[in-house]
Amino acid sequence: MKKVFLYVMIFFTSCSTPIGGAKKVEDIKPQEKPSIETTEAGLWMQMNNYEEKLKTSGSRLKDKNLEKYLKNILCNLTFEYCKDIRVYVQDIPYFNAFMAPNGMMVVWTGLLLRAQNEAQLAAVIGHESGHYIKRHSLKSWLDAKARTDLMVLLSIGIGVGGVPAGGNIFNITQLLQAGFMAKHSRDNEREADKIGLDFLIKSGYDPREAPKIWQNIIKEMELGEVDKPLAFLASHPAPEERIANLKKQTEGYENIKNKKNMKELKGKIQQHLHKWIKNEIRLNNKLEQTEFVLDKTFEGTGDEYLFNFYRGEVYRLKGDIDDNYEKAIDYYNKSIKEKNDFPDVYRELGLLQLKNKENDKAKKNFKKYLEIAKNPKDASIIQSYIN
Amino acid sequence: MSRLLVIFLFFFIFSCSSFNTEPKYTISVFDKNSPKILLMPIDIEICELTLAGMCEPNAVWTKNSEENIIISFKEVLNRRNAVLKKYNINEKNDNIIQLIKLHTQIGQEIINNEYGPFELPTKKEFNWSIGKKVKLLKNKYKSDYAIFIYFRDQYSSTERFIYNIVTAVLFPGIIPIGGSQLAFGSLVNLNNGEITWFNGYYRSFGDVRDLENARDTVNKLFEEFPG
Repeated sequence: MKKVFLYVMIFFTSCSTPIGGAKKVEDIKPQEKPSIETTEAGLWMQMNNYEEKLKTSGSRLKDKNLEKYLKNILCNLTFEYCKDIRVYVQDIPYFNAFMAPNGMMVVWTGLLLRAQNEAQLAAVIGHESGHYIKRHSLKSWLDAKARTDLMVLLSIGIGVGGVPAGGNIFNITQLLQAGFMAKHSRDNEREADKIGLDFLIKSGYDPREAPKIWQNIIKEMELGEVDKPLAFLASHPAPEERIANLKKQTEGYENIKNKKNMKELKGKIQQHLHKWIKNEIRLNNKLEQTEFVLDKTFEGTGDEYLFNFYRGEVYRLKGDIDDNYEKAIDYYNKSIKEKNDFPDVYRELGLLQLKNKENDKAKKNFKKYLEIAKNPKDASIIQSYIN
Repeated sequence: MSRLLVIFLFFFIFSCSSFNTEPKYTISVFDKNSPKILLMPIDIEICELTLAGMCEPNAVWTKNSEENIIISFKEVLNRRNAVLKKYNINEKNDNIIQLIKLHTQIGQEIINNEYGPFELPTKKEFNWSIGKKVKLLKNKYKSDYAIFIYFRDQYSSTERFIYNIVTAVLFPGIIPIGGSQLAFGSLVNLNNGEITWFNGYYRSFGDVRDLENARDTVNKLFEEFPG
């Protein structure tokens, strides 16, 4: 019996991908396509099908201009690969971006909301392009294949030989497996970080913005007391280590005044801002976390009235517990003090006052709303409250 | 040892579970002679199971299988005196692409509801539809019906195949999963979007990578096709 087992082991180890074999994968060249008989072509085929579906998916943000803007950033960063990578925006309110092996890059709106300027966004886009150039999907696949094959062989081995401690064989092998995978994935991330940063510097962006986006997301996680790392960070290097690495690499650029293009980015997302912030608030994260996101969204924009309006919205949407509504009204009033012709704040303020049975005050604010809003869709409802 | 192997093989052959579904239909003959049937792009992915059971998509197998299915289906139609119309694979009309996605979704629902564990208690008749937007196809391709085919298939790698045998010998009772095939097809009336005929199956044998076997598979799937 043991002899048979030995033969089987020899057979398996001779025909399965050797561990570490994936490291031989070379960078993809501009406009290179995998030949059809390769593993890579299979991965591309699958992702091409996925991409076709994503194109008409309801979750794709219907804003061709914004996608074009992201594509322009990409092309400025990675000139040679401009034709090979397509950028899509998915309307999902979490911090995430990913790169498929076939050149499909997806950025979620939660990330666009959090990027404070174009340089930070370019840092992410450059990083994702690094994954494409370095063929990380293919490497991860080949590696996962080799690791899981090894796990199976170990399972047979331990199953036949027995485990001295009598533990569960699958636990041990899976633990080993998880360790390998995480390390491999972290190496890929470091590599992509470095490429992203090189692109950033070459294209004239302020490289010091790269660590900032990670610093912000860590701070946010701490405030939200998020145990599970966010999707984007799950397999990434420990954020602290990543920031230290990025900072170290940017040291030489301390005195260079490079572009950040804050206004451009904010202008491009302006029309979505209200919906994205509403979606962010609806995630019902811890108050401190949502406030931090708002704080960072409006930092340096000078839009204090919007910042205060949305802080009011956070409290209003938390519902009528504690003194949430009073706090909301305070923030709305602060917003009006900053800017007295922003219609939405008068409507929300009026609606809360109506709930508090302060009818006269409410009517006054509704009137103001109808006066300054240009043909709002809800005009007749608001009018009915006045009457 | 040899006795063990015999027992194993016996067990292996009989553990190949499969279910062929009965076709569901609202018509058994076409409502006109020599109807034109538009073959929609086949939703197909063929993969190879690695030793550990990961499903590695295989572009060559997928391409060959797709070609084989198209040839075999054309033969099915020839025998039934129906005319095959080709779909333009560079179709850019989003509404048409949405129809293909919708069919995949509804096909899965039909399998769950008509054959599977989620039968709707009040739905007694077979009356499914992908909606009146199919007229877009009728007008553009001058066809009477459209046929949608969905195909997923897995084949064990050599390593996986041997592993299955070894595992069954060493650890009786644990059966690693081999390859399995899920296929369904539906005939949609392009006047109103109704699914007039549907069949699907799930099984752990069959092969579409070579034409001969693909013919058997397609003939089986369209055994009781109208016409």
